[in-house]
Amino acid sequence: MPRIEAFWLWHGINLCLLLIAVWMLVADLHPPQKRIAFACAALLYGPVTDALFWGQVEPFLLLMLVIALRKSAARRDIASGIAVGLAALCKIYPIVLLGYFLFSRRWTVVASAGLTILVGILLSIAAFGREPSVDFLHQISMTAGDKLWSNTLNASLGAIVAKSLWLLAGHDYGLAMKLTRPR
Amino acid sequence: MLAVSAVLLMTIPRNAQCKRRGDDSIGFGLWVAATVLLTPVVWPHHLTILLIPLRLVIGDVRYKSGPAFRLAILATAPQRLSCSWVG
Repeated sequence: MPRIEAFWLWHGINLCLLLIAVWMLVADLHPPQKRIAFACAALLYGPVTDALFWGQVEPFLLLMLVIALRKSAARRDIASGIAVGLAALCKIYPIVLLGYFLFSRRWTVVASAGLTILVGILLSIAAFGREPSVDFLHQISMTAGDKLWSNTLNASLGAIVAKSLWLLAGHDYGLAMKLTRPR
Repeated sequence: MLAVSAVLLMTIPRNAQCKRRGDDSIGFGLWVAATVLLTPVVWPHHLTILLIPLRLVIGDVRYKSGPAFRLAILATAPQRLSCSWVG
């Protein structure tokens, strides 16, 4: 597909996924004024516009997590687990959400999420070979830990604490960036 | 490590408390907020999923002094902090 068409297709899909996710989020809010207000605020929420601008996969993650929430509330554990598994296949961090199901002793959700992730990994290896998966693990090792803490856009808890301590200790922020920059 | 432990210490007992009160959705929202707080690298677009806890807070404002209030703090803290660093 030509690059321009692919760009618009991806952004169109992302926008549709976001609208569906927001609609599902507000569907059971009452009164309707509150529903409209929350939907408008959600669409103007900084991280949402950021995700749309950069073409990130977060609208899909949001939709999967909203589906997981609704299915979990309806006690449809397998569907909930599949949704969490699909989200974790796109980006690794939603896998933390399995903690909720582990501590709630919802084993069916955990098992179906695990199976979804396993099937997704196997399908990925079958379709694209082992190389991208191995490269992904290599990339994780390059960015894990404190390697990106000095980046101003990194809003992780560790990064915020580290940057605060650097400033409190009177260290030059630029020097701290040089010291922690990945080599 | 200390920060991660603190987040888990806040999340796990509250999850049990929500379960006892029948607020399973609030427990789910707590874990969504914890997901962001426990991730070692958080870019601004990662905060998109915090719409879920924010929505749950909007729907459960009657628990102003309960888990929903703590959830609101957990959910908005990363964005406020990131804004202060970026801008």
